[in-house]
Amino acid sequence: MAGAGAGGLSAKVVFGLRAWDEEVGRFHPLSPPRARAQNARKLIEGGKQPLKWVNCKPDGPIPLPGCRKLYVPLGKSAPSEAPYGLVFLLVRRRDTLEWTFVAFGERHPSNSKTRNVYERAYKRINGRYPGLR
Amino acid sequence: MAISIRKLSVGDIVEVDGRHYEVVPTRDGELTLEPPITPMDELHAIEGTEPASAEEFERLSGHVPYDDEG
Repeated sequence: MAGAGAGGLSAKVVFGLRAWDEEVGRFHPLSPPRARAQNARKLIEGGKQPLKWVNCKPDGPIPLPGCRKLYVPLGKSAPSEAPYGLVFLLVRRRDTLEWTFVAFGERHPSNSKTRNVYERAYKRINGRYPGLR
Repeated sequence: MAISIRKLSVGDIVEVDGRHYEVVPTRDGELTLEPPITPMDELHAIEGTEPASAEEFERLSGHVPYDDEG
């Protein structure tokens, strides 16, 4: 668990075991995306890295209301420098609010068959990929 | 010997060599297998959480910028 970092926010960041395993564990242990995700998590949980949060769009082709994201590597924004993203959903646990981790993946996959991080987040939240019944 | 055909539908979970895969549609309308993504409803039950409200999101994240991505 970690503080939410920059922005004067009061909700902590939580990485659930199952979501982390499904999103990051699907990559080979020595692969770049897995290493990038693990490093980003370490920095987030360390609480010393300023976090450049961006809200996810609540509408459009992949609506993700209640979500915000971080680009990975942390601190970078351009897709060429930060090809991955972490998506978090605001949830309530009793009397506290948390940003719970929901998806990790490529922002703009070069392989057209690969689902991007927003599609993965949508599927976790809605139970199906966007555009499907 | 007759070949036994197993019928699968979108959303079915199958086990292959001890690993679980979900039947999911591709963008092209085909079907493929991929590691399952546990839905948030199930994670809420596991983690003891519930969805936050739109007002709570606005209070915590109203000042955070958007971009043109997702």
